[in-house]
Amino acid sequence: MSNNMLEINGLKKYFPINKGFFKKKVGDVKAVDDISFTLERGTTLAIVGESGSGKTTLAKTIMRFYDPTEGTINFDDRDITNIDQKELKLLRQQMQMVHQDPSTSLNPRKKIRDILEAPLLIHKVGNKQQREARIRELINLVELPEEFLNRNPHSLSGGQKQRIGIARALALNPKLVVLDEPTSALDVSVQAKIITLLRDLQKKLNLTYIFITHDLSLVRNFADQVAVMYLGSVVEYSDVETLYNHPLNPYTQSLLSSIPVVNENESKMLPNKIPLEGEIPSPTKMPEGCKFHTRCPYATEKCKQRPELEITKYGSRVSCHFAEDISEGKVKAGIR
Amino acid sequence: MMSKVLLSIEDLKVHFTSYEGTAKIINGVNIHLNEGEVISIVGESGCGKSVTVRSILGLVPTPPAKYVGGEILFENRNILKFTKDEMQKMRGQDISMIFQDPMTALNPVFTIGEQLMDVYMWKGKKRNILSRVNKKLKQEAYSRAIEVLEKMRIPDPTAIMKRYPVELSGGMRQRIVIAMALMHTPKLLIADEPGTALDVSVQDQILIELKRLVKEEGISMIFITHNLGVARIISDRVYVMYAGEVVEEGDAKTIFEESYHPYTNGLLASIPKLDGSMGDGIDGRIPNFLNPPVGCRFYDRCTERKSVCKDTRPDLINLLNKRKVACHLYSEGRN
Ligand SMILES: Nc1ncnc2c1ncn2[C@@H]1O[C@H](COP(=O)(O)OP(=O)(O)OP(=O)(O)O)[C@@H](O)[C@H]1O
Ligand SMILES: Nc1ncnc2c1ncn2[C@@H]1O[C@H](COP(=O)(O)OP(=O)(O)O)[C@@H](O)[C@H]1O
Ligand code: SF4
Ligand code: SF4
Ligand SMILES: [Mg+2]
Ligand SMILES: [Mg+2]
Repeated sequence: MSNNMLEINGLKKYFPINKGFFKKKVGDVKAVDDISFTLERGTTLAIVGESGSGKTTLAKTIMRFYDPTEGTINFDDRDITNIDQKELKLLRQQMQMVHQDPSTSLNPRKKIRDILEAPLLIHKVGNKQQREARIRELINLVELPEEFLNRNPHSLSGGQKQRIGIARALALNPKLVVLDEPTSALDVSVQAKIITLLRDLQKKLNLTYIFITHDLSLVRNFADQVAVMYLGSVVEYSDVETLYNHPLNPYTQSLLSSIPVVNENESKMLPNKIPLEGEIPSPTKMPEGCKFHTRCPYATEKCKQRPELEITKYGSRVSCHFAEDISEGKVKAGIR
Repeated sequence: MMSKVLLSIEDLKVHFTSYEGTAKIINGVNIHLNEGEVISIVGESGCGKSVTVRSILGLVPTPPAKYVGGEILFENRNILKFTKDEMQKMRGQDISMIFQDPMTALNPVFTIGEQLMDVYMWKGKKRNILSRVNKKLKQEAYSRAIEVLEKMRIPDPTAIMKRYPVELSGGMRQRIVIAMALMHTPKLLIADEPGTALDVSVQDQILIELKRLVKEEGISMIFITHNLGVARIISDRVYVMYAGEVVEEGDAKTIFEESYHPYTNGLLASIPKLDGSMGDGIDGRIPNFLNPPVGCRFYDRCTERKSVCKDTRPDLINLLNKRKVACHLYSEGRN
């Protein structure tokens, strides 16, 4: 058994753009555009980036909800890039997803017991008695009272619903859990509880997490590795401490600098404000060269060539022609 | 310098009746806003932020709501006593509101330009197909729309005017909705969690623009958010609400540096810090409004509660540093 739960190599997912009466293909949405990384067992990778940067598509391609356009996916020491439907069904037990909005991801007409039993039934796990035992185990795992099993989702608070969403994802003993913005619909007071629960579960069950978020303030607390995505590409990949101490890609810096902090001390920990120009371009009209150049305050002529992800002196991988200069403080935002 | 008070909500009490009984939701809220000032209201969802501000515009349906006490004074006139006509006039001219979801505020079948101009020409009234608009008014509306879009720093305003809402990104739609609310230069702008559906980076840009604009135009603003960091950036003063009551009030720059109320403390501790630390959150949830605690409404969830808290409601008292807090741990005038 290797140390890695996941090994992703050159992964691409393109969606065709079809136009006109004959639905002729006129181009591609490059939602995931050549991504490689490894993820160690029992650790958490955070995927961070603006809406539309391809976070969910990346996760869904890894889980094989989409067929990859190119590249390979190794999961649990096995190449799953091309496995067939039958094998996929077995694979799904080992990879689960927790969705963003707990109110819409749970069927309101079902009892909590039925919601938790569904995955066990689909995958034909155990007899009635064994399933009931598993359901009780699950509800205890997410620290809710067993009485809740007889209730409907609508009588639960947002945080309680998300606990049910987590319990359902754990029903089949997965190895990898994708958390797609699991707390973004919740109050901070509840978010803190859910994050604590997820961390405890990870230790207890040795889970590997992919944690999707656009909130960088949550990442340091929760993740081991971070991949910052922009328009389908990873622009910075590093361990979480390095990311906070030495963010080298201008896009990462701008994301960090826009975290709304609550006091002066915290705001001193942020990089200087990086004013982003305009909005994220449409992925159907991907900018030539560095994808970020239309908004980057450091952009020069050189940025008309696409930068590669290169390893930095801090051990992170960063794609920017000026990562080195920025790390040595030679470049300041807006000056050049 | 004493600034003039534009709006003051005095001891507002709102109940909601249903077959289950009477929910005593808003329980004596006091909020005031000076001319040119920006205030934020923060608190968990369900604590009454929207009911409070929607009351200012008469947008809370009665029934089920019932105004059982207090008044809302806008330029010294009690809004709660307004006739329908007076209310409509105020909505079209003096007070504008921005809602959470920009898509609900925009009509998908009209262009951005048509919608912006409509707001200007019809002043909050229903669009009347029969009454014709004169050319001059239309010209005026067009120039004003361009002007507002430029002020929002929206690139290429003339092109945007011709687009439909679905063709725009979430961030751009939010900007348009803000522009729409500013077409008349209202005296008061109410923003109910705008941008919560947006990314942190986009939200940050929009908030900076919004703050700059209201300050430039001298517009007062009430900003609702559940993000304390956002409240700190955008406002001059902050009100913390819990279960239909104001529990703490203070200067935006200092309120979160040193907070007093156990609820504010709990919220602050829940926020993930940049150094990677994060508190435990707050146990429990907002009390049932059908049968709320008679004393402090935070009693069930408070880790510092005393026996007096169970039966006696704490008043909002003044501390020395312009801070107000409603909690039995503190007494008037101390620090
Ligand atoms: N099934 C699909 N067909 C065509 N395009 C798609 C499809 N799914 C996603 N896309 C496009 O791929 C890009 C990436 O989308 P994705 O949902 O992965 O972004 P995301 O980073 O998860 O964003 P968000 O933060 O909004 O969830 C977007 O431009 C999106 O419109
Ligand atoms: N039209 C209504 N009828 C009945 N109850 C309502 C109505 N509007 C709001 N409420 C209740 O009032 C309370 C406060 O709601 P709201 O002001 O929307 O909270 P917030 O904006 O702080 O999230 C909630 O318990 C909510 O269910
Ligand atoms: S390569 Fe150029 S445009 Fe791209 S991030 Fe670096 S400086 Fe900016
Ligand atoms: S009044 Fe008592 S119960 Fe309420 S917040 Fe203060 S200490 Fe806690
Ligand atoms: Mg997504
Ligand atoms: Mg609300």
